[in-house]
Amino acid sequence: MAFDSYFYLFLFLPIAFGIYQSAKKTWLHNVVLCGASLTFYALGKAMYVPLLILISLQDYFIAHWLYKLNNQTMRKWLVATSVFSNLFILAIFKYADWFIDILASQKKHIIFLRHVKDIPHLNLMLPIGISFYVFHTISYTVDAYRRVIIPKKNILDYLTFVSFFPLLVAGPIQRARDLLPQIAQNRARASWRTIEYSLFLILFGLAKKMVFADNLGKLIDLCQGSYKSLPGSGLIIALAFTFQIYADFSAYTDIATGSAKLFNLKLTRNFITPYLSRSPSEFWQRWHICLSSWLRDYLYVPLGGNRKGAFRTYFNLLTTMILGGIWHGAGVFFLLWGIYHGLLLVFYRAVPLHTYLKKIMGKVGVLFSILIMFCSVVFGWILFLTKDIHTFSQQMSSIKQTVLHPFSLTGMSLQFFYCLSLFTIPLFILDVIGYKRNRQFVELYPAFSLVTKICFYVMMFYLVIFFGRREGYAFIYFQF
Amino acid sequence: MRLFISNFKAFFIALSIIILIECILFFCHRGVTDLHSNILSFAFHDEATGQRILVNDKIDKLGKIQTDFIQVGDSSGLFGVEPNIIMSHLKGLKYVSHSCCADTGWDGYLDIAKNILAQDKKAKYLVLHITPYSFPLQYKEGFSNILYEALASPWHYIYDFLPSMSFRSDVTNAVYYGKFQHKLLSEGELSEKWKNKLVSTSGWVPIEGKDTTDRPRGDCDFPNFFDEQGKSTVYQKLRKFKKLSDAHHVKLILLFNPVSCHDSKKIAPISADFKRFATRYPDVYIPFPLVTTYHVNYFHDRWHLNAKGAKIHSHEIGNALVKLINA
Repeated sequence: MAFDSYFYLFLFLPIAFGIYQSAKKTWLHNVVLCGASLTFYALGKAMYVPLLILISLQDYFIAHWLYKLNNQTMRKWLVATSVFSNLFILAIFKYADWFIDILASQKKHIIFLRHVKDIPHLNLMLPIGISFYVFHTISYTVDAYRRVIIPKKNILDYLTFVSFFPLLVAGPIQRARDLLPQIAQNRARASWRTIEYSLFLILFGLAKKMVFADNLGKLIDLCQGSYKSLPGSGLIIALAFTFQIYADFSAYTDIATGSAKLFNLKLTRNFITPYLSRSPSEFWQRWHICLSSWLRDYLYVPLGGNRKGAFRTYFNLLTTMILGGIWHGAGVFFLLWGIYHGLLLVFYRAVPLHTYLKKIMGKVGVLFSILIMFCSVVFGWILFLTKDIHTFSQQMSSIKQTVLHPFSLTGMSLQFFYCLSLFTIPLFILDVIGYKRNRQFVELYPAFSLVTKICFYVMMFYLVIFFGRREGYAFIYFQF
Repeated sequence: MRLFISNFKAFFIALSIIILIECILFFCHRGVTDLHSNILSFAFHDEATGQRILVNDKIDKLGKIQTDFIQVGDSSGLFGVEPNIIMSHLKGLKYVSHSCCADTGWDGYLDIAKNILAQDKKAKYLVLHITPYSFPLQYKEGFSNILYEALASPWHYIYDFLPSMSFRSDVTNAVYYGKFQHKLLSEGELSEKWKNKLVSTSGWVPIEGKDTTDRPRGDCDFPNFFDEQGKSTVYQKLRKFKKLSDAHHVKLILLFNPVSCHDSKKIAPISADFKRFATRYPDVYIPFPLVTTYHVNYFHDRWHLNAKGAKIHSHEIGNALVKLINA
């Protein structure tokens, strides 16, 4: 069920919220939440509910054993069982057919496959949200192993954490230590003030998705395949996708955060003005924070982090980013995207360009480092969006042409750039406002004056009426 | 209560301002026009297909006609059914074709039918006219999501009555192209003459020429219509039409476009599926078999009859409907 569907907005969410608010006993709150979450999941694809419950139960019991056991070897085996079984299930659904394709293309060189005619695909449908809830449960067992959390005796609290519907389909990934204590405690019902803020978050997310993300998506569709007939289209696609994925995923996050707030649950921040970062490490502290901090805590740090010398640090950074890239999907270009970001991190660690620029040029240097980082990120998104090498080379040569001969752009190309600016500049301005206060723009809402709030509501309404795309695209992160 | 009002003050004041703006626009606006629509795109350089414009113009021009027979379906009905010929058999009863194209998807036919039935309280019959070549799954959903949004979603009631929607083309044209104009700059409109012709033919559009490469003879072989679980998609979709006709107390009529091929064992599963539907719902009127073979010269292509073929087919429909009315 999509967050921008009528069913979610006008039926599911209000009903779940209504029942939750009317439940007088606090222990009933999690019964409502867990029931609503499993219903939410079942409405998407009921056949995968048992898998969700099975994975959850496995990690629930493992976490309890981990807590009780004192034998360190046994504990290591247990936590490894949890992590590998989760990753194995994820790999089967997500990467099996990709792996089969690789095997098929290399079968001449593999002795036992030489005589096999066809290696059949598994054609498994990816269970909705598996990439996200598997990370939830892994964080639970690993935190229990590290004794960062005390495993919950109440299975209902734990199931509510794993299946909490605003996070179930496309995150943002929450760690047990952040969300579970909130779920487990007796919490009050949401205040009117919180409900009003939730309403704003949901409406703002919807407007951002319909007006900005979807129109940028359409612009990309219009330009794709027109590299020759429309000069500049390569750059337009790159910039449009850069802002589309940001608007799309941050809109999703806003709606998820708003939905969670209705149940008095606070999610950790997922974005904070990412395109104004000065270095790759800062970018990853501002972009998809939930995933990057998860990878940092559960992969990079266990690998040794930066504690084992420069080369081992570089290796750890690369490994983490490669796995982060592959997490997004089975494809060579996701892998390349991961490698690229890994190399960027390594490069900046060896040569802290942003520090030099600031030292030499002061504030102008800071601006330069933001610009350099922005361009680097845009190139990364080209890799992320690309499906094949032919399209990639066409896009790159189009960008090269535009950069080398900017005055050769036709009137039509300029119209497309103008349209691109219509849907990117407002997003950029909102980010600059947020950046100055070190917040994501939506977080500033409670401090707005009455007039500003009114203006925002009216503006959002008319933007949707006039520019909102009725035939929108699915949220990009649904596919992961 | 006081806390509620003070916290939602901004929201309610904004709502009041929006209502005020809409009231002002209501008194000075140009009335509901064909551009007061969500079927059209209004996006930057979005040359949405002509099919969307056709659906929009048919609903705009023909939707308000109180008629006895409402026909929906794919383009076989757009090109192959002449309502005026049918009406010559019907002695005063009215027949209007809202058929457009398979691109709308079967859910699209359904949403068009829903919308027209809601407007036309006089309707007695809902006609679904399809060619066996356009079974669901071949086109999957087409642009049915757009039609749902524009014609059947909960929002469409709000959109339909929002005066500001009439200014959507003016505003988008002004922002995208610097021209404050009330017309479709990106898509290219149908001319008034063309729209009037649609009214005079009650929704029929003749097709010219022929595509000699696409008129299969011999055994019929229609595209797959089973979903991933192997269930028939045709039966499921047809049942939706039956439910809709029951909800509006109209009789469902199922008509198949002729084909240039011959009945064969290859289409046995589809025939069996239709038989299942016909047996389950004996009150649905299905006057023609799944496969009625016409000579290849009556076809423009496998899907569409030419004007000559349309004339014969329309007379046959007229006769079949007379039998139904007299029964």
